[in-house]
Amino acid sequence: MTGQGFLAAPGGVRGLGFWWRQGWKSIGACLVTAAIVTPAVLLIFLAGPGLDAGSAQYIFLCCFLIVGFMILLIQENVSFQAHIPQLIRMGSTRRETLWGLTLFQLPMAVGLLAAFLALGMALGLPAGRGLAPGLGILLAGNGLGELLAVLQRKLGAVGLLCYVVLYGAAGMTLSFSLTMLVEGEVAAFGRRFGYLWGNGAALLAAGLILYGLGRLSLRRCLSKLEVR
Amino acid sequence: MAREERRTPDIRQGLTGRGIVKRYGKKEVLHGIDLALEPGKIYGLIGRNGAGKTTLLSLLSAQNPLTAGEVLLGGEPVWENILAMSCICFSRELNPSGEAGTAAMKVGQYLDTAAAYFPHWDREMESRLLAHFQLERREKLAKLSKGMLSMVTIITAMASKAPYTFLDEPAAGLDVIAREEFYRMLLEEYAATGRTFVISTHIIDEAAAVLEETIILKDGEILVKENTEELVSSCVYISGREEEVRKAAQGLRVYHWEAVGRSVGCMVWLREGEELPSDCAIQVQPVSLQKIFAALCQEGGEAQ
Amino acid sequence: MQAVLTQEKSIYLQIAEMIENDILREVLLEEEQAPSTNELARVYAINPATAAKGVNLLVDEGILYKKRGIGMFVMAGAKEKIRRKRRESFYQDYVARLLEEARSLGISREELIQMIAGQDKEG
Repeated sequence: MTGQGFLAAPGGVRGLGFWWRQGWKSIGACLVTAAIVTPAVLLIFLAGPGLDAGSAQYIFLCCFLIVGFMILLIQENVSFQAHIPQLIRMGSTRRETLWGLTLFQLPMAVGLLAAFLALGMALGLPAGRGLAPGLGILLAGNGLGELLAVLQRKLGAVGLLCYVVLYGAAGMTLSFSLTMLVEGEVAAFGRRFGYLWGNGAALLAAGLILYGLGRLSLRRCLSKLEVR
Repeated sequence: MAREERRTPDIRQGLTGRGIVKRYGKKEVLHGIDLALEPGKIYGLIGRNGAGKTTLLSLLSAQNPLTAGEVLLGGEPVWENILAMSCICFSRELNPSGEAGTAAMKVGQYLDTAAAYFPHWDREMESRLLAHFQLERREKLAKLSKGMLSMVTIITAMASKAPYTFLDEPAAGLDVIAREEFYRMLLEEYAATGRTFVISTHIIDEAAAVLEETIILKDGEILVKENTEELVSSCVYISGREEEVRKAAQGLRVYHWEAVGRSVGCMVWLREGEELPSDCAIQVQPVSLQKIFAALCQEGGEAQ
Repeated sequence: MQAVLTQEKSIYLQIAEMIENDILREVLLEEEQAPSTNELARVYAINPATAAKGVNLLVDEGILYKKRGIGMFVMAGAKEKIRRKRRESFYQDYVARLLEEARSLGISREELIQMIAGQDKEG
């Protein structure tokens, strides 16, 4: 009986203003942290193998995005662990928090997608070609964020460990995709399979699947969530 | 996905819980509670620590899922029902040290966020109470004392204008003057609006005169739900020589039997129509709600 | 009005008694408006339902009456009615207890009468 059909309740969504404000706060946090962490990473790279200016610029942008993406995941986790219980304690329905979280993701997603496209264009990639993989990565990021937030809640310390490992894996996948994309290997990789947009489509599909999984697990988790 | 049709609940029909069971893991906290809250009453919810007061209130306000049973407002299920939940405000104790989300908030943000969930939120009342309690909107919740946090929860409850409003330990951390003020404020609001309030408290005697009905929760079950006046007048403390007290208490509900030297005393809870025999040499004294609660909830409460 | 309620007696009875006292001491005059339920609730910080119960007790006894849409008023002859009622219970409430206490202290009837007479002279 309990928890059933909680997406079915009509009557609008309250409290979106809170999430909207949090979303903008988070994008600020993403960009600021990324801007601080990135030069540090860059310094390490520069101190290592001799890099030409072009590669350095590319790595810089890449790091910026990856760090931003990571922070997006963390922000989402924080908002899940902290804001959702708080809002439920104030009288929010669970369905409303789910919609709220979506709104919360929006400014960050839009901001990061814009940064991603700008990066692609700066490196000579047509904007259109970056769109599908960019969206895919963002969806995957959000889905993963939700999945991991649930995992951490369920498993406690073990979940936290999985969290770190998966974070790393996600980061590596992301940077790998980015590298391929930016260096034109996307096209080569795609051509090998006979279609030019293959990689972008695959990334988008993976993103959609992860996002769907994230949503489903979050919904399940929310319907049983206890607030103390 | 099937969309259930939900209508605006008729709040005059009351808030009803049927067969409420709550389990946390293997531990069952509430064992099948039936409770009907009528509109336009002030209820007191009392019970020892861990009796399940907060859990019960969080279930009645659909903040936590039920293990079994149902909660209905005007016949409509409350769970995930925005229309019903807009009518129920459970203003919980704030604990910023244990909640990351709360700690980061300022008083103003907290109230603004809560306001979003209650369509009849009263801004004018909110600012009047803030001024009254000398609270600033820009103060961080994490920096407030326990008493000041109680004030924030009181403001939330009052300004929500929710027809069913629950307050969990609103008196916690408040000094005696602030507590008196709170009860006056509550009565004033009640007289003006006829909202239903449920107040949980440990400082029972201070609240007794305000509570129309008293609900006593013991070990996850409702032990008493009675009109406070009637409950208090049906309980007496009798004392005297043991044989006289035993004779007087014969067949009556006896609690908290105690012996002092040759004299014994106990509390008797008279059922309707029952009377103490007039031919026993015993001393009969009235008892306060707090004493009644203590006698009923003491370990091994029922004696003789 | 007496401003303190005790825990030792039903609140509604105390409310009724206080209104009676006010009528006896002419704080409240006959045909004058009595405090409303909400006023009583506010002043004594008690539930309005309890205050109403006290007021209704006096209505039932014919001490107060309700003017529709205006409020409660003191009935003509209320003071006398209260006096009569309290006189009837005076023996049970005061004298009987006095005698009981005197008996257990060994104070004789004569001593008691003397005490009362002496007190009267002083007063």
